[in-house]
Amino acid sequence: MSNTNEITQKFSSSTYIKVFFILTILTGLTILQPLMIHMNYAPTLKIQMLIAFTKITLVVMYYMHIKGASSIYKRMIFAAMLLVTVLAAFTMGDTYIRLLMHNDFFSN
Amino acid sequence: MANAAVEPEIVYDKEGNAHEVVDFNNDYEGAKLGFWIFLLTEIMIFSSLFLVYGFYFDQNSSDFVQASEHMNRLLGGINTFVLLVSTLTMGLSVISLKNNDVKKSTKYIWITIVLAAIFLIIKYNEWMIEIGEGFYPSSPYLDSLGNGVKLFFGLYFTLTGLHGVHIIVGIGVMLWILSKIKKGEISSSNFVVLENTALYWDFVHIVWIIVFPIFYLIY
Repeated sequence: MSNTNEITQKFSSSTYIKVFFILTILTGLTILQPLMIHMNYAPTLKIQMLIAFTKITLVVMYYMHIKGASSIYKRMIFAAMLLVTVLAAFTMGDTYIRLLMHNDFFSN
Repeated sequence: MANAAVEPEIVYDKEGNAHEVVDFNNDYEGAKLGFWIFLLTEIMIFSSLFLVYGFYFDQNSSDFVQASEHMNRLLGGINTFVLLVSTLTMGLSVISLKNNDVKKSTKYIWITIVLAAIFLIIKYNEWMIEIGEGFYPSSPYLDSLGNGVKLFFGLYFTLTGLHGVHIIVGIGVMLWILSKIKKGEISSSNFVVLENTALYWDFVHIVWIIVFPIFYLIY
């Protein structure tokens, strides 16, 4: 066991700069998409979220070094995402049930 | 605390190889893992707020779209780019330190601090514009608008405020790191604190990647 930090970095500054340019292009797309393609807010939001998650994946993989990291980090992120998904599913279920109860109340 | 006269403590790995425990306070993997656990708690905080946003957006879509039209997209866009560049400079500072180029690493950290300060100045001006137009909690003008608009601005100030607090904390940590580098406590052989700060800064960037479209670009 070493008393110094181990060099686990597999990404050079050129990778950082390449990812930066991809992120810049995606940021440009984020800003230009609603201006250039006029749609309803719902499809716009879907496209925006798709671009955002692509950007987040790039940041997590290359800037936060999850690509090539030990599996424990990947499992931890997966567990956090799973927990968020469960919370989202409960929220959506609750919203749907409230809507059904609301409709039943006004139809009776 | 270990002392020179005491027998060294030996631990064994899965293959049965012996390793001497050198320093409990300089465990690279432990420091990284601990920081990731902290980041996961941060993910839960912001995810909960995004869920609240999603719930109220579902209930008040037209009000949210109407409220979003009042956002300053130019300033929001500039801030997005500022944060993007700052993430790059923060990453480059880690690489420079690993390559034992302390001067370059310090320079990149200073650039990141300046960019973070620019972000805050722009955000402050944006808030002042919005407050000047009457979009602040409990303002008579905002109270005269729909419930969805009130919720939108309540969530906007909460999320961007919490994000701004994270930026301020980040600046403080970077200044502390600069003093540690100057003292030689953070170096090319002991850089985990800087690496964890870069992880924190990436997280701050990720939050903004979601905040920007959901508040500024729903039209």
